[in-house]
Amino acid sequence: MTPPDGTAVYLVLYVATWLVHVALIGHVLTGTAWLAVRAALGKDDDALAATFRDRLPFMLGAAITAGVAPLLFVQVLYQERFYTANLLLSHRWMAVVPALIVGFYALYAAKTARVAAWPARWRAAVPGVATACFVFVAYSWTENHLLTLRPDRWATMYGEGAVVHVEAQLVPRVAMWLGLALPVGATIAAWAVRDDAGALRQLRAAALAGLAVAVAAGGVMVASWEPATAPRRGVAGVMLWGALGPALVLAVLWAVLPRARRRRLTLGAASFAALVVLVHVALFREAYRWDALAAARPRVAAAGGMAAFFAVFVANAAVIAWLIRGARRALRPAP
Amino acid sequence: MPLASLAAALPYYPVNDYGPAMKGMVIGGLGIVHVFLAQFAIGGGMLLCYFQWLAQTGREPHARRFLDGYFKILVLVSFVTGALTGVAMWFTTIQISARTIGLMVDEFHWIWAIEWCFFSLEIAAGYTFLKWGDRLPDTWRLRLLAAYALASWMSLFWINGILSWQLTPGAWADGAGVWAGLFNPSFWPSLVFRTTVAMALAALAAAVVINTMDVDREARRRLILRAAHLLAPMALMPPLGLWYLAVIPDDSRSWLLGGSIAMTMFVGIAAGASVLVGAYAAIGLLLRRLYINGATATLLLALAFGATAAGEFVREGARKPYTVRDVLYSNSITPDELAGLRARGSVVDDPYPLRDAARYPTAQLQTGAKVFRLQCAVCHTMRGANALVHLAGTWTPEQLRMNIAKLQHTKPFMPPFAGPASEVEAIAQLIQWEVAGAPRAWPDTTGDAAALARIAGWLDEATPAGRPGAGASDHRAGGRP
Repeated sequence: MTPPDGTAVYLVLYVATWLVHVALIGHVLTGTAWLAVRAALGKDDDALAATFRDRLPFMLGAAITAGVAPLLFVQVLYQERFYTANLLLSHRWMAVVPALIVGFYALYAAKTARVAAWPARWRAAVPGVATACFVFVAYSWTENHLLTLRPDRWATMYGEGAVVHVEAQLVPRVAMWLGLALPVGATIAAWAVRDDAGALRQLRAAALAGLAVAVAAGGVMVASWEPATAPRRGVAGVMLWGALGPALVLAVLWAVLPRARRRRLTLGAASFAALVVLVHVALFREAYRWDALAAARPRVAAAGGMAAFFAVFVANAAVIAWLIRGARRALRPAP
Repeated sequence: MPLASLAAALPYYPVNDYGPAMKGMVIGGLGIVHVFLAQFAIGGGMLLCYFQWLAQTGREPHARRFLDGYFKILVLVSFVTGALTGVAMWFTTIQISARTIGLMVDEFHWIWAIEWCFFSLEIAAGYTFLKWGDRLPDTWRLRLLAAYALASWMSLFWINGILSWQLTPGAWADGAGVWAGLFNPSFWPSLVFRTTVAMALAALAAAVVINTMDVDREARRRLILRAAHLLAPMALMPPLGLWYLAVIPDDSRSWLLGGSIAMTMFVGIAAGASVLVGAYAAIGLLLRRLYINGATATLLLALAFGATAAGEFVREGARKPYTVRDVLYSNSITPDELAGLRARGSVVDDPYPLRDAARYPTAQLQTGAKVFRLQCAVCHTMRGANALVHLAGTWTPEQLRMNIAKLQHTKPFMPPFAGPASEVEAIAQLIQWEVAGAPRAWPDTTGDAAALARIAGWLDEATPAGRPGAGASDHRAGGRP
């Protein structure tokens, strides 16, 4: 499977930046849902909940920032399909923006002393609303993604005035991503609470449950593939089932993590395994729509500025690293 | 529907209907909010650097307290709503003119990727300051704020190049490449103008915030007068505005200076509101060093919002009849496609059916509805804002045929009609049918050979056959045949 002419660099950048976005979103989804559940149980006063409350607004900001890059590259790679799906879903699709704004402000609200003083039910409602918003966005993205692969349905859908696209693999696909968000999000969160065995045990439950859901949903999804959308099902299937091995490794690592003697090493291995799982699933996602990828348009192929982009990317990454490292070193002790 | 048909030269996208609202109102409404917030964030970064310097040099005892409060507002407003309305701008532009944003992405995706790098730096510096700012020494506070301010301004730098390219592509149009397109003739006046606007918005927002601070009136007055220093560059706006007017195309300038009264009025609103804000700043704050209360500060900020809104309307309107000068008409048809569409028809290959086909009593009216959807609906509605029944409802049938066939001469900010005589007749019939109240029966004039021959003559007069892109050169020449 060689990428069509002129698409390789965009494909690599798309997948790489999309992976960063998905990992960060996984963390946000995990943390937000976690806060909602724990608050509903009246158990949101521990270190793990405090960690999530503190960092989630930043993580969502980082996730959205990271998400801008794949949003750009998808327009380069799949322009007509992406635009058509956007237009067909119309205001239903555009609703992701207010949903994100509401979810974002809910995360800030969850950090306030006022919300912390509310009864458990209302305290849970704030991250609960945020969770609902983010799940809606995830559902909408998957719906949009699948619609890009169904040109056979576009004209009919438009004529009917429908703004909802449903097909057999939609729900299992969303479930697979949401399930996958839990082990990925839990692994990122674990770095912040790696010395707290109790918090790690809680995260372990979420990670293993999420993995189980992801594997089960992935199976249902494969069973519901339609010939019209998966001309390369074999390759895509190999990519997807190739994730099972690292997923099993990830499950084992999470199983032992809370009581591991060399916890940092174990967590590092779990992070690597989570990354491999994500890469596999990302490659499945692209393999599945491989035949939708056309050679780069002449204007894209001729566009200048790539060297400048890579130079600016490296320079800005260095400045960001310098700022964060320098500021961390210059920190005065907390009062 | 085979994909091959969608990959043709003119891509057909599904077109959505926004009821009585014209699409420009949808993108304009969101765009104005986004530009206002984005420019507030850019100027806010500069203002914060200034106040950090005042604080660390001991020049202003309350500077740091103001800074920390202002920064939290900046984060809550700019990092959330500002950033997400930016994403929404992308989505909305797809809804309004997918081909325009597609062309911009194709041409400038690396520039957009560079802008994303600076956006990432802006977010990283901003959140680092938010998290650790109160525990950092002044040197690092200033570094973080300077990085934030520079990165946010650099975002403007790149995006400004793409937006100004739409009106003045400059040497890019002759094949000079992406950098010539970026640093186009209106790049610098537009960039400096937007920078002064950003500084003014930040200063006015600061005056509102300062009025909420729990310090004595004299301390608030001093802080407001410090913030007002960022209003001083407004003095550059008149020469910058003249510079901008000097470099835009002749016909665009003519719309702004009386050629289109609506555009001229919006120029007047933008200039008038800016003069009011500038005069108050110059006389009240910088010369007489007065205190302004929260109500006055809010009113000034509202005036600045009005000026921003009117300015963005003018910027968008000045591009007509293009979305990318000489390359793409506002209805997403290129000058080079005109000849082919005249010969074959503009809607015969449109794969999307009418959602309300049963409403139309004849096939000709259905064709007219498809033509309206493809060529008119981006700027017009049938019965709502900028409605065809209002604009053309009183024209006689023959007037309708000729005015539509010679559209770029009827109104020089309209694109040429891109279809054969039969499609002109179809939309002319559609308008008459709508004006008549959409009756159940309506004559089909498809076989009126004499009328079609007259229309074909007018089409040839407007854009001679075999002259691809003739509409573009006509517009450059001032819209006269």
